[in-house]
Amino acid sequence: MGFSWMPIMLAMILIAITLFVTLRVAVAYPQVRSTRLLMLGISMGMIALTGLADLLSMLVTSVTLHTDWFLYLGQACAYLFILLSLVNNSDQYLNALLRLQIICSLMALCIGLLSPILPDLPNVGLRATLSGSRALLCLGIFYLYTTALLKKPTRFAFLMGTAFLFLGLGYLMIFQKYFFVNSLLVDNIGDGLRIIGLLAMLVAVLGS
Amino acid sequence: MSSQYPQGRASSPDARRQQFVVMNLLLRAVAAMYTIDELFQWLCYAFIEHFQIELIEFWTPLLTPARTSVLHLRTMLPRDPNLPEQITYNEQMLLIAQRFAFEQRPIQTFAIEMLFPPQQVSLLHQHACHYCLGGFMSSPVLLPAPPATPGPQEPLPFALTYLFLVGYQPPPELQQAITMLLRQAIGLATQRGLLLHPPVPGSAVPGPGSRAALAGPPGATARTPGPGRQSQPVPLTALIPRRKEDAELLTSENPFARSAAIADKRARRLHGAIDGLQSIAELVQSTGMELADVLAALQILVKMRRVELVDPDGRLVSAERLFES
Repeated sequence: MGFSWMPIMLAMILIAITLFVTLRVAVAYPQVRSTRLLMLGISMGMIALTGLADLLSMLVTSVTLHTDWFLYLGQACAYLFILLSLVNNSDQYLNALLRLQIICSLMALCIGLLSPILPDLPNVGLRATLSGSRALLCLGIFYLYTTALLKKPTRFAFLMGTAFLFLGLGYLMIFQKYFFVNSLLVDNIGDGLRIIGLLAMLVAVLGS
Repeated sequence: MSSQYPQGRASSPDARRQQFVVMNLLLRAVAAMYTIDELFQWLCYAFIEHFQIELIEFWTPLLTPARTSVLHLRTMLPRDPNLPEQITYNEQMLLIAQRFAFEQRPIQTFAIEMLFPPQQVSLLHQHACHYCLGGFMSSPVLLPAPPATPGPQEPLPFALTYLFLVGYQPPPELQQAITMLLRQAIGLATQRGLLLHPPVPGSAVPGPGSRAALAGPPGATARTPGPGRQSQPVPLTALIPRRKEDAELLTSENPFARSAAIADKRARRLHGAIDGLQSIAELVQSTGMELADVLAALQILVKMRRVELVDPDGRLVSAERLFES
């Protein structure tokens, strides 16, 4: 398997795991009735869709799909709302946040649907900013899980913290590719770290 | 206390079950009541029907034309309509009521031999009255004067002395059920405006049934502290459940674990109905659930840290402690 397969493999793993989490949330939500859980499900669904769009842009060659807008914005939006959902427990806050997430997610979806007609990202600076924001958000979530872990050490907090640490580090590696010559190596290391992160999330979600 | 008489039908858990049944019926019936006397009458019928009481008497203060307060038999209902008046309303009954009013204890049980003279005791035994439960309740709200009585018609501070004559040895659950139901009934009466709030100096008196009338009803089961304000009792049914997120869910606790799910169907149904605006009494009506089910569901949700309770002023009530008691 050549290195060129790495992004495709990552996209497929990303889609599989995030879709699995989304479905798990869909099954659990009627029983758990947690707004925070619903927001995680929407975020994971959004990440699955961005992964699907990314995969399509790699596989479909007849049409040029500028899915990077959707990829970066959709994923940043998903991570942002996971982060925000963890900072406050009030029902009022979470309900307001959920409404905002739905609006933002719909807007991101519209951007995704407009991929065939959207222009490519205009410059490396913007691309690096949008891509790098995901690293910051994932490391922010990692920080919240670390705090929770210190308060109450649980397997779930540890695995989720690990997942977001590796996702954050993976995005941080990818961020560097915009400034280094050997971008493919950095890109693949970043993808590898993200796969580890996603697998950690899968283990966290599977454990009950 | 002698136990020569039969154990009550309303023994545990039956008394508790009947308590919820009566409360549930009351929640529906109170909407059609316009005077406190209707409520007293309704309670008498309900107690007799559901707790097998032989005779109930509610005594309240009355202002005489000379403006002195005396104890007045406000409502009386015997199970047997043929119960002679010499049993139900006499000097001895008044003395007993005065004793309970003086002692101001929530509820006490006596064998009738301990309260009545021998000739009256035998008469009471003939009518299956072997025990007397009596108690007293007061509250900062005002009780409207009874209709068609001479003297000033101005309301007096609420004070209720009650006597229950029963044919069986009353279990502690019956005492709890009576006091709890009376408290809840008085709380509902305050909500409905059947009892009045005393005018606060420098402010308008809230109208009957106003939201403000919920602030300090009698018969409290919950107390909420407030800065610069005396803590006031609030009836359980006037408390408002509010949904909240379990702080540990999705941070420390796995939301996919079995323990995170609200396994109880009633609890899930109630959780869905809670909007942070409706009180427990209103939720009973809007969901069509029985009060006992609503309380059981609430207890589950509180234990799971998925619901908190606030009083009508929005102040948090310690729900865990409330359900512990």
